[in-house]
Parts: sequence; C-alpha cells; structure tokens
Amino acid sequence: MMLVVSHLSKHFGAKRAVDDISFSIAPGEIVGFLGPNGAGKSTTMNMLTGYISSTDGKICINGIDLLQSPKEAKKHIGYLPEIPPLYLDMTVEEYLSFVYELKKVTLPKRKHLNEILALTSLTNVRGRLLRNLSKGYRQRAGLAQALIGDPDVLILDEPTIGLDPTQIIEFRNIIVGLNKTVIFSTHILSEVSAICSRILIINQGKIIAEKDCSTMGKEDFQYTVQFSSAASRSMEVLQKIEGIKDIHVISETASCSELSLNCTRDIRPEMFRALAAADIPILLLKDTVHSLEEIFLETVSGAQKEVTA
Amino acid sequence: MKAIIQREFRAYFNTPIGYIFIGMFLLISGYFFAVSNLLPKSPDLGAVLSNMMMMFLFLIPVLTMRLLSEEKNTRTDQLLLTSPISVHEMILGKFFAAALLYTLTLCMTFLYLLIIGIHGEPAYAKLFCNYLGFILIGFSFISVGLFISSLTQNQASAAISTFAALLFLYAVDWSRSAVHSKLIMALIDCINVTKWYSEFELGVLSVPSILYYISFTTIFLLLTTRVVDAQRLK
Repeated sequence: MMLVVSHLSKHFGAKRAVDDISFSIAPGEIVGFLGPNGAGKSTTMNMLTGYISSTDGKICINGIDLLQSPKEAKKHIGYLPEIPPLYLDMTVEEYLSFVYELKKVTLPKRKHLNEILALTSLTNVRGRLLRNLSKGYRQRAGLAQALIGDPDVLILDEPTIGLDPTQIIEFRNIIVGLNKTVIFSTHILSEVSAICSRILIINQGKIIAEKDCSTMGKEDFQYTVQFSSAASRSMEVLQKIEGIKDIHVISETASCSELSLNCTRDIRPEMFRALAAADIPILLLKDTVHSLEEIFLETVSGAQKEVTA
Repeated sequence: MKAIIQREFRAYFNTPIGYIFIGMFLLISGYFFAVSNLLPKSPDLGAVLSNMMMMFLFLIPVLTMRLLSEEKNTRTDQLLLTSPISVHEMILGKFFAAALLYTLTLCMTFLYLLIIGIHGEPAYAKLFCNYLGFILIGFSFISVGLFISSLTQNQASAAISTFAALLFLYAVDWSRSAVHSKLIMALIDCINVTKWYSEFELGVLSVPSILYYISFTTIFLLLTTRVVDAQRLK
C-alpha cells in the first residue's frame, strides 16, 4: 500500500474536525475525497502532508511513518493546498527552482524542471512573475511545485476550484496522465466520476462511505419501462420472468403504461423477447442508475439522521 | 537552509524592502557622518556609530516584519512546512538572510573609514570592536524581530510591535535608578541589550559580551521555532 491511514483524529478544542478515520490507497490509484464544506477534508490533507499534527492516529507513506521520520516521509509527497503556496514576487522558473532546492531533489535539475514545465504547459510563461499570471496558470504552477522531486503520492486540495471548464478538463487530463497515486478533494461530483477509481465520502470528520467508481450505482437493477398496452396485460407477461423483485405502476392509460421494475439481475433481453412474443411494443426502456449526486446526498443525509437519532 | 537564505535574500530586492532598508540607512548615517566628521574635520567615528544604534531600532523592524508573517498570510508556510526540512532550518534560513543583508549594509559604511583613513589615522582596533559589537547587537535585534513576526499574520503589526520591543530593550536601562529590588535589577541587566555593547564601544573585545549576544540571539531563535511548532501542534 502506498498510503495507510489508521485511526486518524484531529481535535480543535472540543471540536472533532477529523474523528477516527482509516483508509489505505494502493499505488497508482486515484482517490476522490468528497464531502461538504467543513467536513474535514482540508484538515485531513494537512495532516497527511505533515503541515499540522494529528491528535491521534498513524500515517504511513510508502511504508514510512510520518511522525517518526517526517523528513523522509515528506520526500514522497507532493502537496497542492487549496490556495497554491506561491511566492508572487518570483518568476515561475525561479519559484520552481527554489522548490527544487527546498525539497533537496537529486534528479538532474534543468532536465527535471523542463519536464515539469512542459507537463503543466508553463514553458511559455516560465520567465513571468507569478504575480502577473492568471488564476489558471497559478494553479498550474501550484501543481508543478507539487510534482517537483517526482513524489510517489500527490495530495491535491480542491485543485480545480476557480478554473474555467476548459482549464478543468486540462487539469484533469494532466492528473490522469501522471500515473501516480493521487488523493484529491473536491465537492464537484462530476469530477470524481470523471477521474477517480474510488471515492471516500467524508462528513463531520468521519468517513461515511467508501465506493468503487466502476461499480457505483450499478449494484441494483432498476428499470423504467413504457409499454403500448394496459398495465395489467404487460404485468402478466412480466411476472413470468424470473428475477423481478417488485413492480410499481408509475402511470397508466388505456393504451399506454409506465412501470418501474426492481430486479435482482439484468432481465432486459428476456423482457424484450417475452414482450415481443406477446405483441406488446416497448416504447421506452431506461436504466435507472443512481447519479453520484443522489448517492452523495443519500449518504450524507443518512449519516446526519443517524447522528441526530 | 541554503535555499531559504537565497530566496529570502532575493525577496528583499524583489520587493522595495531591501532598497528602503539600505537607502534609509545610508542616507541617515551619511548625514551623521557629514555633520560629525566631515564638516568639523574630526576623525572620531564614535558619534556616527552611537547614532546608528538609534537607527537600527526603527530599521530592523523593516527587515524582519515580513519574514514569517507574510508566509502565514499568503499560506506559503504550507510549502515550507510540508517540505523535507525542519522548522529549525527554516527559521535559521530566514535569520541568516536578514543577518546577511544587515551585515552587508553595515559594511558599506567602511567607505567612511576609507575617507578618514585618507586624511588621518583612525583607531582601527577600536573600530573593529565597534563593528563586531554592532553586528552582534544587530543579530539580537533581528532575532527579536523574527520572533515577533512569527506571532502575527500582519506585517504592519509585526513592524510596530518589533519597534516597541526594541525601544523597550534600548530604554530599559533608564528605569534602573527607580528600581531598588536586586532581583528586578538583575532582570533588567539580563535584557539590557545596549549595556553589553558599552565594552565594544570602548574598544574592548569582551568575551562575556560576545557570549551574551550569542545566547540572546539563540534564545529568541529557539522561541521562534517553538512558536511555529506550537502553531502546527495546537
């Protein structure tokens, strides 16, 4: 495992900003850290990077304990905080060169910096003062800074906030193209489904759900079907198919009906054949996949109910 | 640490601060030199040097005010503290950058020595002690400024507080006559930074004074480290 976090907590006085969270991330995995504002995302990231200390718990990066050997562990991390830590009085190149020295990188300097400048499309502004760059370029300089020293783990705190849609897509492509272990926090849900392999949903300092993006929303088979027949007739046919748990009538007229099917497996091909045999045309068949928004809201509100109950 | 010294030193000249510090210092000390040496044709630099001390009270805060407060304000401390360097290295780097600019600026006054040297015979040994004393007292002032800069996010409050603190250290001696308690008097001696300079002023290379200034500076640098650490650990 590239990153192992166990029982991590952070208390600010009586407030538990992060409350006993544990997770681990495999090499090359891109994990989204999702949660409403103030959920504890930034606090967790600040602890992972050693910016603030934890009240309790353990963080291991590439097998190195962050608390026991912070200098060694920090060499494996690239961090882009919510506000990119830029010295606005420096040029892009001066800044990256400073970060290179600061991180005590041993890679060949000129080559390494040129590669990063090219990767983050900063080559044509390398001589310009950071003060004079737009938000998008500053964000890229922030990412470039995190990439210096070729760290194993990248921790990005809301990296696409404030960027325009084209820049967001560019930024995502850069992140996906890196082939690194990445954790990034966001509250833009489409972003998560676009690039993550896994998401951790955090709320009120706790991880309330952990989901695999590839299977997310596909665990249950729910379909909305519209037939050109009365509901009773089509239900008669459908009941002969195995695997349908229950059927709801959504709307019905004499010649058309719409049903919602809740199934244990994918019954679509069989349903098609059975209905065709009974001469009932299917007007519409829709796979009701829960969107990430729905899953997120369900999980967050579910967890809040638990807390209040 | 080297990276931080370089960055901070360069930052003095990327911003107006370095120019203001050097410019103001040379302007005012040049004036003192003109009125107390050039015009009366006197080879004694003593008056210029003792006036310089006053100048440092308000020029050192300019030098130290942004060192740590600015980092917190722009969140660049997140870069430094998540890099594989220790807090000690970070603080020392900043201290040495300010100390370097201070020393270089002080060295520019060697021009006055040169002018006096052409026309007369300055007491070089005494002047060496004077300059050494100045360097040490300046380092102490810088460490106080750095410490105060770590306590705030605002440059202006850091500058004003540092000025007040340095003025207090400078003037604490004046309260001696009003104090009768031995303990308080000993305490005043401990923080009376300027008193320890008097030996250098006389041309004495005083080891206790050297040790005093080194300890004073070290204590404030350690305190600064503690403050930065405490802010991370809270």
